[in-house]
Amino acid sequence: MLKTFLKTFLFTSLALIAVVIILEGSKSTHSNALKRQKVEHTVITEKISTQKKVRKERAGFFSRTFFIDYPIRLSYSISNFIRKLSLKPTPSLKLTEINISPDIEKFSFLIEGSIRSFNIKGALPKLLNFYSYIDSFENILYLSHSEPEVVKNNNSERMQKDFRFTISGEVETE
Amino acid sequence: MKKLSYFLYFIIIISLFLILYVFPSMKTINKFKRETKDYKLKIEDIKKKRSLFTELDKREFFHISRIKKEIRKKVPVIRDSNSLIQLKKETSTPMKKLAGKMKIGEIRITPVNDKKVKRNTILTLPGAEDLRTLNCSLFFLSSLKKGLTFINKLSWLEKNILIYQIKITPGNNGLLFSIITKCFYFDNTRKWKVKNREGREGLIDLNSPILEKKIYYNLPERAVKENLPKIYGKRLFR
Repeated sequence: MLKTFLKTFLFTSLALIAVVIILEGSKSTHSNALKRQKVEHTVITEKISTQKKVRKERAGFFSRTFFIDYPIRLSYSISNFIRKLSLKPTPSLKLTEINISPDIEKFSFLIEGSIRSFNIKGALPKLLNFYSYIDSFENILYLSHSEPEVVKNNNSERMQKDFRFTISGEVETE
Repeated sequence: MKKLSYFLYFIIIISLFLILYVFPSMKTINKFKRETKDYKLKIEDIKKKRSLFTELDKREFFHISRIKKEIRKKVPVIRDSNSLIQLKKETSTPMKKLAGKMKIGEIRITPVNDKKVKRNTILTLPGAEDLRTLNCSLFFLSSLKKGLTFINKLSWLEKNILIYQIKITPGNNGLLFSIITKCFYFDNTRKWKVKNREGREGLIDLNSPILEKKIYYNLPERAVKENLPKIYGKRLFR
């Protein structure tokens, strides 16, 4: 009986030792493979840091070019925009103020003016006519206008009144 | 009975072996496998990106150094308060000269100390934490044509002058132009720290695919000093 037990014990021990050897071998193989990949990854990421420097240099070039050229583009765009505004014959519509605030690649504007008309029905088409003229500019990004409001309120319906309006919007730099 | 106890004894030993050694070992091996696979994928991804990327060459260095020279020429360095006074003169004199040349008449140029105007610089330069602006306000009366030509030509002057605000209102003898300009300079008198936004170099996103290719394949179109068309309307402000 003892003999059988010893035999079985020996056989089991050998089997367990074999399993241990296989598992340890597999562990070390995979751990070595992982180490190799880690080394390769660090080498390649170091190379990427030089790539970052190159990217920074190139980005710097584009930023600097933009920095030098933008004021020229902006000045031209703004003055040409106001010049184009003046080209529209606007009977009974006059502008009282133009405000322009530049930003990157665009500038926003606020136009204040007044329209002479007998009533709002007469003032609105004139405003919309001027509004659609501005809207026809190529580089308009956004445009909106206010409702015309009476400035001088004359009681007589025969007298013409001044209707105040504002148009605001954004224009892309040329 | 003895046989059963032997059997149980072996079962216990094998179970303990499985629980304490085999399963944890399998877990570790799987972890190693997973991590190796992850690294492999990462490396492949980087290699793919690298294959598209090109290093800097002599032609690119030429373009980069040329633009840096242009910046040095356009943006002065201020080392003390005296040179800032000098810069104020150097900025306003050419403006006055231009106004005189265009027969604009009286022009008033004053430095602006408004904090809001000072803070907002619009344009930035990569790595230039000491980039500052000298703000000037200009007032003049002129016709629409002359005023707009003046605005267009302001940025043609030697210094980098950016228009920051324009207001045009009708005056008695023409239109009243009030303009705020920004003249850029590097301030070496103090340590100004204006950090760039992370992941950006100036205005450019560092992950942009345009930065993978050589500069000269994507050279930006340079701004041309262009005169305004000569046609103007007369009845805008009455």
